[in-house]
Amino acid sequence: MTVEDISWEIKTDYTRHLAKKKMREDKRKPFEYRKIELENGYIPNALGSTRVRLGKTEVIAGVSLVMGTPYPDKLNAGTLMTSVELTPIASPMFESGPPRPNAVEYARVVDRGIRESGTLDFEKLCVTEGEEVWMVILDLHVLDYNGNLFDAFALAAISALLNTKMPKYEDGKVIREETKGKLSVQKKPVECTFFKIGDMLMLDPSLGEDKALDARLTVATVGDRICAMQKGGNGSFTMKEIDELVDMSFKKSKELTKLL
Amino acid sequence: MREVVIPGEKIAGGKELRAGHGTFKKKDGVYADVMGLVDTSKGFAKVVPLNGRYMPREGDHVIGIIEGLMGKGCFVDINSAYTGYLSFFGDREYKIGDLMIMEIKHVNEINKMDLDFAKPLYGGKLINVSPVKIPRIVGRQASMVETLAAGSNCRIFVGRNGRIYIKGEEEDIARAEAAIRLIEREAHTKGLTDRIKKLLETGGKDGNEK
Amino acid sequence: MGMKSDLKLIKNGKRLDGRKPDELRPITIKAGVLDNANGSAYLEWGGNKVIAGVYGPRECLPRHRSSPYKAYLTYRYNMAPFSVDDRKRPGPDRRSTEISKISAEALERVIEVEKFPNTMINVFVEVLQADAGTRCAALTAAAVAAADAGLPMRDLIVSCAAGKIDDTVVLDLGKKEDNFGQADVPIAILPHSEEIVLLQMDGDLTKEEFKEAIDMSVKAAKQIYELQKKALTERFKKGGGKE
Repeated sequence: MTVEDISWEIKTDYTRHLAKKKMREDKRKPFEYRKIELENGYIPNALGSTRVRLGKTEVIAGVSLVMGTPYPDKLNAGTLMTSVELTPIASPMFESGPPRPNAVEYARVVDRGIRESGTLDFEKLCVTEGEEVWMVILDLHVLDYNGNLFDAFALAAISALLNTKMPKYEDGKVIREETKGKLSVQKKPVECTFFKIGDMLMLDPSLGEDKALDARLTVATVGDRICAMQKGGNGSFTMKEIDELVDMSFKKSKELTKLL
Repeated sequence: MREVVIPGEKIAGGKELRAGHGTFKKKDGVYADVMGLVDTSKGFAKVVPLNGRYMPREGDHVIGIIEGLMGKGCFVDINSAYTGYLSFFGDREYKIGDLMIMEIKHVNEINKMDLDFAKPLYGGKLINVSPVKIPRIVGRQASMVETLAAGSNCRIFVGRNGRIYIKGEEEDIARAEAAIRLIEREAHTKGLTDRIKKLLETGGKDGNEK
Repeated sequence: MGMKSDLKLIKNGKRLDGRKPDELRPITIKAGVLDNANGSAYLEWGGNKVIAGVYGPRECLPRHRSSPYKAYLTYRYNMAPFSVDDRKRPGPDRRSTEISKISAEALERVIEVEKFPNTMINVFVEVLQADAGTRCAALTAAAVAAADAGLPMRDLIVSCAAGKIDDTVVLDLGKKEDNFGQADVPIAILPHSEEIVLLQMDGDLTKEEFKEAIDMSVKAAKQIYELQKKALTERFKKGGGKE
């Protein structure tokens, strides 16, 4: 146990105490999101970008489009790659170095939400079958970590994709300065992250709640379909709780899609 | 409001001023070496920092967490770059993770410190504030912290290292914390005591919320 | 630097973006923008967007890097993948490593590291959008973030670049000027003593041109310093902290 873990034990004791009384530190209701601010085009030079503030958590999603070769098993499809950088500026808990397990998990869960929902028409991204396809690269960068990177990243990601411009491609060269239309985005998947402390189920963990939680469930939905799910933490959910959370995620996703 | 100065800025007042805390002297006067508020009373030029991590000082009361045991004592995390050492007395048994309020008995030249007079804290909430705001939270002759405790019906333990422990009912703790956060944001403004009293009466609804 | 082109970078004393030879691009600075970092600053300089965060002094890890005489100061200059047209792979590259090293050395001249033996002070600068002169923008922001963190410093640091385009010495190269120009001289100075704490040069300059470039930067530094000062003093007018 590090020194940091020990001081978190003390703070999370109180968070757990409040949860027993069905209360939250910042006085939110159990299924209430913190204040969400979305700014599209935050990085004007990027083809697509969005900054999201979820409470005090602040992230930026940037989209790049690179011409590449397709995978051998899908010669007529473009590709998507999602990358997360947990830069140390964002928290004393992040260190410089290769992506740690949580960075990888964030990237893969956000990626799944987008990929499995059919948000991108990969065949439309094919320029020349077997040779030239567009590779969509989604880079998720965190500036300030205050809990719930899943939802912050997911929201920033879909919003950035929705306003990504397509660069012109002529004679084998990408002409970035001239953009032609927008990236074809067919769906608007969103993710809701719930968590459990003791018996209490809640939405959108703050930093302290993220440290105190027993279990966490992220549900990605698009319309009335579930497209991805991820359970985390070393506690557990009952089937009844999962049912309740899935219902709640459809309800909450309407709030999130309104922002897009 | 007192003037805000930044590192490297010359402090007005001529060469007659002596260099106090937060300043350094050059041939042509006294300069600030930290961002803060200028105080030129009593012939000293002083800069009261507006931010900064806690640096241990003898006599300070701090709230610490036991992070490791060694020999007849333990290492204590006081939310500083430096760790303290607390010797055990008698049969007292402390364990890792215990929260205590204690006094810094001695600090050496490389900031290693000895702690004493430890009292355990439990059953409440620990919060962190910027250490430079603690004097304002305590107030002159503890007037502000007394106002906070009375107005929120809580017991409040203040560590000079930026840690504050609040004991009481959950709603009361929330009220006390809201008031403390208000002081943290507006420490350097006038009329603060009245605004705090008002905040405590209205039950923690922060009038500054957008 | 030195890409070949027929493009005329300066015509009748006006540069591609309309600036005069000794004119800076617009700069805005805001301090205290992050919640986690002890001190922070967000800076826009032309199309550059950088954010600096400072942590410390805090316990020094790894232990073997700690010194009984002073704090171990680190500086990490990092470009976000979307900050440049050709997406940059995440992680440090040789250029970032070099910039980080010389920037740390510059900051160590002003931050009173001897006051914090056996600790570390970490400076992180993220380049969110790059538009030439990022290392200068980064260091200028970092100095503000360090002061915002309450670190004792002898002075701030102002960093700026000058160079040569079409045989004319100009201040603050823009992107095209950087790509197609003839020389680039980034420097960092202490605003009060005008001591130089960072200096690099690449390209082709005579001794006189070099002197002219330095003089231009030093003069511009005064303007930039006023913006740094404004960012810090305004932090406390509203009550400070991330909203």
